[in-house]
Amino acid sequence: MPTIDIHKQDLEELVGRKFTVAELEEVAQYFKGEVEYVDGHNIKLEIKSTDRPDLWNVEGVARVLRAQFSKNQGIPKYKAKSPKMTINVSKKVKGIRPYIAAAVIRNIKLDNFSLKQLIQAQEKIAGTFGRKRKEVAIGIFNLDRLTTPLLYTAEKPDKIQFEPLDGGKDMTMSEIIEIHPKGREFGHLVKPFAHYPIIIDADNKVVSMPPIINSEHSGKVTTRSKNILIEVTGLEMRYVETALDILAMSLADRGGIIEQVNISDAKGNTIVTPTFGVKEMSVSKSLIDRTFGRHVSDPEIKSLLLKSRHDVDHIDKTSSGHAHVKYSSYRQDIMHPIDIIEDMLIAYGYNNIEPIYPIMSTQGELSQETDRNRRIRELMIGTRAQEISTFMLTNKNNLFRKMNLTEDNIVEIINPISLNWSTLRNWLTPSLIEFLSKNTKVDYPQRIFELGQVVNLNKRSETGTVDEYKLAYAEAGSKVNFTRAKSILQSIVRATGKSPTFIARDYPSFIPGRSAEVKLGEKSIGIIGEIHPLVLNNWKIEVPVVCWEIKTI
Amino acid sequence: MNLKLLGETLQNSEIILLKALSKSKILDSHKQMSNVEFMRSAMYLNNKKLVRILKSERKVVILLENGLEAAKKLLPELILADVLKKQSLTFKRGEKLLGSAKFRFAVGYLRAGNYVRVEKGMIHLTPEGKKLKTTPEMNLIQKLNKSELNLAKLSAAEKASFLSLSKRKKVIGLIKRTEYNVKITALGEEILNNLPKIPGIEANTPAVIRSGIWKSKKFRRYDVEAPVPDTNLGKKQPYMQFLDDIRMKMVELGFKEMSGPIIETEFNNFDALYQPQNHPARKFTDVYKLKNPKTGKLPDKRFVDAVKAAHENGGKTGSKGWQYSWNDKISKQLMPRSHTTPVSARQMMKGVNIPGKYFTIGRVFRPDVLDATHLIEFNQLEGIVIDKNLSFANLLGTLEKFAIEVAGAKKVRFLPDYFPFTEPSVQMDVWSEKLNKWVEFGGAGIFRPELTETLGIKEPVIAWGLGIDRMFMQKIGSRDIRELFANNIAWLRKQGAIV
Repeated sequence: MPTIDIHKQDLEELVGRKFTVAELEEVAQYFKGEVEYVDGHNIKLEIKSTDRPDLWNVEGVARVLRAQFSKNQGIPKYKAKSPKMTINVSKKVKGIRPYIAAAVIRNIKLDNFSLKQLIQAQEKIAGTFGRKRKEVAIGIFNLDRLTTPLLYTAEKPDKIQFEPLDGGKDMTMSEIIEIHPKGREFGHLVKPFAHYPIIIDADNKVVSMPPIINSEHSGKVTTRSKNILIEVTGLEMRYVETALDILAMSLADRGGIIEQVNISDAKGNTIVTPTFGVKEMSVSKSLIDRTFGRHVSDPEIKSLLLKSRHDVDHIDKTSSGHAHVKYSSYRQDIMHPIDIIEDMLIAYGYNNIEPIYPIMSTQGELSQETDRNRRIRELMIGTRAQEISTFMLTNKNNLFRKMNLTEDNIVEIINPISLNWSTLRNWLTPSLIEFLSKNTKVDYPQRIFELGQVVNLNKRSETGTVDEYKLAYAEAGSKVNFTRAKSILQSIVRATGKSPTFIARDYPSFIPGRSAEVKLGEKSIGIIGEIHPLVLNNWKIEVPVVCWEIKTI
Repeated sequence: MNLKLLGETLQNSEIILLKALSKSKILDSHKQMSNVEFMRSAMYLNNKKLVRILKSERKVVILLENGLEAAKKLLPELILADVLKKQSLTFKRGEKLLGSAKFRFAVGYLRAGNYVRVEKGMIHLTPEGKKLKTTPEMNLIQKLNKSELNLAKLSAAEKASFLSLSKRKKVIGLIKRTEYNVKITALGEEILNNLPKIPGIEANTPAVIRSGIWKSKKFRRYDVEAPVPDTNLGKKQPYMQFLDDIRMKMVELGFKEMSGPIIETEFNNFDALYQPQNHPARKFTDVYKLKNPKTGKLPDKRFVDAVKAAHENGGKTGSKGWQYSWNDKISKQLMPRSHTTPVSARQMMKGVNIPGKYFTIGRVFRPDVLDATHLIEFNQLEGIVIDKNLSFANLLGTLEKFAIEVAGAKKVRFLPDYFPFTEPSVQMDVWSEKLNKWVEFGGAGIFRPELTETLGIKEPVIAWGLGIDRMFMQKIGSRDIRELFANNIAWLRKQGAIV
């Protein structure tokens, strides 16, 4: 989730209204935000809208709040002057990083607040919305140090040298990728290509090497910069334009004059950016009513849409009709009319909606397995064993080596945080033995059980695995005995109306001659045995342990 | 209890001990009883305030490993003296005989006692040395070899030997022994005059019952007020008990329980929930992926086609979709489920009742580091409600009902939130009296049409997912989430059954 740093006074000037911290906490819901931290006027906001990059700076937050507290509502409208400068796009960038859009901002007066916001927005948008600059990378330049037109092209990594921002000296593009911190961080985005994207000005000076780094010459923007150029490159035009719109709007909110830029391709086709495009969507009135849970009148629909910074073309009179909505094209998150309805609900205020518990006649029911498991667990409690609950994640060492078994194929995680938690258990007994090994200083006898899930491989299954509930019991202490453990097992199975048989069989985890296979008719359901001292040594347990594990059929 | 009744509680062994104590006032054992019997009788009498048990600690001297060896083979100085009785030795021979360290020590000891003299590198016994048979130290070792000795009761000479031996390595040591002495009280003396004339019946047995002897004789009274040890009851694991309770409450609210597999395809975990394939939450750092098994099977083609269309262009849902090319290979990959919502997706594909209410509680897995606030696997409570015309107001009503009835909350509030698979989305906070602030309780929303319509549901579906583990922590006032899967049996034995 993006968190942004803002200055309260800066926000208040942009909204035209003062806020106490408590008020700010209250109104943060309008931009899906939460006040995380307050230190005087410095405030950290968490923005829960990971799909709304237009809210990731103070100007965006102010844009939402203005609609709540003033008549500054509907689609935010920005005027842009006709283009004076051009960026020519070479066909060499096709297949590498094909799209570029740009805007000029003139007469901007950047102060420390606004410069900080600009850099923060650039980082958050390229980082989160731009998927770490893969989809979107942003460059901001001191326009007065550039000679136009610019050329967006791609060159061999060793052909061109320039001084990257904070690089200290001239480097080739391949050197930048090897040495410069930004090159090392983002170099992987261009490395697969024979040519790297580059922007060059009319004097053949390098402007930027997108998406890696700007040049020291023109890429340094300060509070003294008057006229600036914003350039966005990426893989899809809709995301590139969204990022450009957001940054241009924010600078216009600070008094800058937006001027469009011509983007011309090799065939001479020219488009201009930014466009502050507007899109349309028809929202069914019945869906609005259904979602609100009441009838919403046309004027109310209109008022809520305007508060949500949308425009209304018109609203059909009939109740089965639609509200015809216009919305800004930077709202890439809007995919379906329900997205616009959520905006209306937020503008209305979630806490102004009266919760209505729906009266429905449904019959509650536990699943068969929960019901059966619960009964079995209650029977086990009746034997005075303590129930335990352990993790399903474990490791091969616990499941096999420490149990004196040879390793078998089981469910394994490819990216475990720790090797201790790298497989899912395929049987329950090691979890119980591990539990006992952590309680060797506590009074014996210890009698424990767990009814829990294990996961086994199964090629025929849809998920390549089959989950199973198992019941396992262990008793530890100087006087434990096989007979009692067996008697408990037999009585538990009998209580479910079945009768187990025991077939003498040796297993590596148990003392030879002291273990058996548990069967129901022909079907094997589990094992019982006295744990081998070798296994006890592996777990550093110094008292005898008898245990069993069965399917909960 | 009056004296007469108190007298009737006494067992034979208690009476024997009391009588003996009446004579000698203080005892630490009794000829006719084993130590265990003696202590048990003393404890009973102590509980009845007829005697007092005096606990005292004393230090006793015992032999350590080198002391035990000396008890068998003599101390090195005596071994050397014995050899010297036959012939004088060079240092070299002596060192060979005893080892350098022991030899030097033995020579030093014997010279200090004037038992040997050293001339031109040769060691000779003196006349005193020829008479030397044993030393005070050796005597003490031999005595200690028979039994440990009370440090306070050593004679002056023994004490000197003790100090001398203490300086040597691992010869003797001191350990603490706790001693119990039993002393009769005034009440104890008095009770001896109030003993029943005929001793009561001790054990009640079938023979006693059949014989009718109880008609003429009293049973010995029990000291029913005496303290007893705890029994380790069989108990549910407290967190499992909590989950049982939640399940029952869900059933009472009309919810039907669903279940689904631990290992899921990305299709069910993400794609069916309209989470795009390039979404950051699907990355290696956010969810587990499997080395084995790697891929599973996709469901019925009609769902796969509908999901593909929803992602690529919205399909028939009226949405624009995510606008990218959906890949079924990614969709087939397996993973331990990262949330319980795939269980709801499966239920919707299987078909649901309308109206319908469903829930599940299950383990989910995320790559977190285990610490006081994070588990490597945890439980989620997932609920869905389906009906014609369910509204956002109904969602809030359902959440409020749930927070109050199931979680015992007094006050709730709602905040806008974002989840990829619900719209509108909401976060519910509950007011915590304990912390005096709002605490995040869970996320909810109405499933996106791209999700429900794709899975064949036309009606709105209210859905929520709660990290139920934190709810339990609040309930038991725990600060360490690891207690949910406590591996400490002492802690488990202590927990009450009612939380």
